Amino acid sequence: MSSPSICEVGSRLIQEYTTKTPQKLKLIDAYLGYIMVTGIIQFVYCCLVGTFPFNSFLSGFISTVASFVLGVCLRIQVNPANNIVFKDISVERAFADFIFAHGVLHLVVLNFIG
Amino acid sequence: YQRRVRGQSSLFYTLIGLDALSNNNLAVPTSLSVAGGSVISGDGSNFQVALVNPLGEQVTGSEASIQSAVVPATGAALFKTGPMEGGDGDFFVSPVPLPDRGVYSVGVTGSVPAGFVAPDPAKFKVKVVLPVTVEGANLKIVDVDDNRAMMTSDLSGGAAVAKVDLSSRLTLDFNIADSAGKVALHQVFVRFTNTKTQQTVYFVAQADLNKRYSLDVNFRTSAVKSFGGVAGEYSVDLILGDATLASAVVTNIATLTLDLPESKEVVTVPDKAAKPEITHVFRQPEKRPPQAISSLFTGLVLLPALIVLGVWMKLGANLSGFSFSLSGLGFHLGLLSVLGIYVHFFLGLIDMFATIKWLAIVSLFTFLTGNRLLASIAAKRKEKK
Repeated sequence: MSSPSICEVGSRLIQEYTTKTPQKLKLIDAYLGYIMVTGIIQFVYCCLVGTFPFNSFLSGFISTVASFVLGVCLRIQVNPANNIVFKDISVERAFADFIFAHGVLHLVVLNFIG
Repeated sequence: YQRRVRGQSSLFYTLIGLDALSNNNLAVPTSLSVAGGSVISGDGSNFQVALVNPLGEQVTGSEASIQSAVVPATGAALFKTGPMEGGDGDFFVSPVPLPDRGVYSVGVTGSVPAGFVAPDPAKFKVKVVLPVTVEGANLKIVDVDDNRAMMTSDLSGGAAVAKVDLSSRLTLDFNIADSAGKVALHQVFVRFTNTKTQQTVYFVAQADLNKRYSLDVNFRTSAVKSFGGVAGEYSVDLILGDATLASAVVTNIATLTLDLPESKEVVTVPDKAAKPEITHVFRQPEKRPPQAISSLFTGLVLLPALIVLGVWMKLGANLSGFSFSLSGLGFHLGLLSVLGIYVHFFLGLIDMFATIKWLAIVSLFTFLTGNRLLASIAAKRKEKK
């Protein structure tokens, strides 16, 4: 059997994603996409106009990066397919961790953004 | 304690006190002090000591005697131990004939008649200064390469005159002696003074074990190092100094003309004109991008938020499961309050201490309500399963 081409793989991936992924995970994926786009826009802006003030750029960019990471953690922990690994951590607990970490993150970012 | 009194009233009361001490019938304190100088030169001067009461009057009927008078290091004696000559508070002693130069430590005690308090034994430093002469001097100008002596002088005929250049070496050796023999002094210098620019160069003559001093100046190496490459006429002086010399001895021993291929004569004329004024340049602020671009990107950054809201709505996110219970409302209220505190902090209305303080209270409340809420959601979920 000939190896599938990129287009076939891609369309199959999209189809599987839209049908098989639970709604909750899709919501989180949308959120992750939003965070990533925001980070990219900030980075492009910094490349265009320079790094002054550097602390603001750093805090904004790292805020997006950290939010992305926390979102990924939430997604992993909430994914029913990973239930075996994360038996002890309920969905609610994962969400509470997410909220708490975000609280700390935003405090630090607001302090650093200057 | 104060050694001086200031002001007329202080002087008056001090004199009253001293007078009371000096003219009472019970016990008058006395002390020994040096009268005249404590420097003995070789001309037979005496060492004088006074035994006085607090007002400085000499005490009649008193006696003084030398306990010891030696140089602490060598033990050479200056005075014979025993009673001093003179009397009634005024004493003197003659040094032994031909004392050696040096600094002697002299211990004196005194005895007083009844009605007086004997003075404390005193230790005085007495210095013997004797003149010195330079003997056996040998000044040579030598060629550096073949050691041929181009000029020799024993300095007996006055200052020597010579020409030196980069191939010359000046050697000088001599003794310093006083009436007792050869001596070694603290400061034995040879000074070269440029007659035109008045620049001076000092060399130290070193003594060997036989107390013979020598100096060797090699112009090939020292012309630049010591003389700074400045040619011209130099007058050479021999300087002797020591604690046991009455005053320094400076003799002009030579006049040398130093020839150099390139003379670096430094003529510094201080520039008295006003220097240019310094205007302070303040730090330029960093270049900022034009406001249009910043605003554009601000909008661009906020845009994805709206997009994600749209995507969520399309995916079917809704608020139908919102529980209006106490913990539900409390949790959301708590989260919004935390956001509010952050906004206040960002705007600068409260500092970090206040932020942390408020955060502690609100986050505790949020945690409790959130815990309740999420636990109830979890229980509902388990029930549904």
